[in-house]
Amino acid sequence: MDNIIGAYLGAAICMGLAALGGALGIGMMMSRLFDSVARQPEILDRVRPLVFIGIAFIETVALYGLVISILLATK
Amino acid sequence: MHEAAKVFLALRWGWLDISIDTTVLLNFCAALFLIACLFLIRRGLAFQPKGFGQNLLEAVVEFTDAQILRPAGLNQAWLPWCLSAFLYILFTGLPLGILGLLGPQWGLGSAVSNINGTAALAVLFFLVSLGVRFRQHGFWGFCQSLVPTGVRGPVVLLLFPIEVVSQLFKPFSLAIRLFANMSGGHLLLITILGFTALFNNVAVWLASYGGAIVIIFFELFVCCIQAYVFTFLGASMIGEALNGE
Repeated sequence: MDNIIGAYLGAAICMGLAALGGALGIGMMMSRLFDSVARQPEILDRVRPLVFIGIAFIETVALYGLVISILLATK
Repeated sequence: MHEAAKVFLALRWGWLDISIDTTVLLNFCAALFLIACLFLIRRGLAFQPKGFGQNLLEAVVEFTDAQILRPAGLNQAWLPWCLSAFLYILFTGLPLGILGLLGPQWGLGSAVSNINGTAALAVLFFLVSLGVRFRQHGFWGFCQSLVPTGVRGPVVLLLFPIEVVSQLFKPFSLAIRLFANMSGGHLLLITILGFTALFNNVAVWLASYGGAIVIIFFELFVCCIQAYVFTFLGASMIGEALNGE
């Protein structure tokens, strides 16, 4: 019984922290993007692929947390 | 929830279970659909393309060349390989991704929302990068290329295992990234639609169906982005093996 409580609690905390880190990272990246595009609007088309690659990298780490959380919750 | 998929043809190869079940069949159909679309476009090729097919394909090919091959440092000979991976992920992830809702129950779902499918793609890219590294640098150059340039002495002993581990981790992260993005969308959809089973309120039903529609659109968007990112990172893995950092 204690194992199950611990597993569910761990799953919730893990996903919460992973989401926190991912959201912070993406928020910082997008805020810098808006600053730089406001300063130089013609850079947008050159920077757009980098934005998507950055989002993918940051989301990957948050999704590692999701995977662990699912493993724990279905234990 | 864990009803097994319908197996059409049970095959084994040693300890590997390569039987043809619903998921495999659906993905074969998606791949054949892709080949049929491209064949139809190929048949009507013109120098001044009119209509939907050739213009779209030209846009996709130019996009792959400019945004995937150029940043990775690969020349156009790699276009078939990267375009195959990109279009395969798009063509199985986009239509079959909606079926992935029902996936665990009847084996419906795309290859990319299954860890086995994405692992297969990642292993293919990894094997190609290994082969390219061997062919380009030879055996000793293979080991040398794993150490960053300009490093001497005992630091090499420290850096070499780190580089080896980071190279071995790349296909893992490729596979997990695609799988978690695709199946995470399905999980979210199942959770939101599950609210309709818990409550008998019309407002909850409307809200959850509305939310589900929004999430399906978002999932289609994420599929396109993840297809691009997967192919970009796989191509940059191959480019790094070819040109050595």
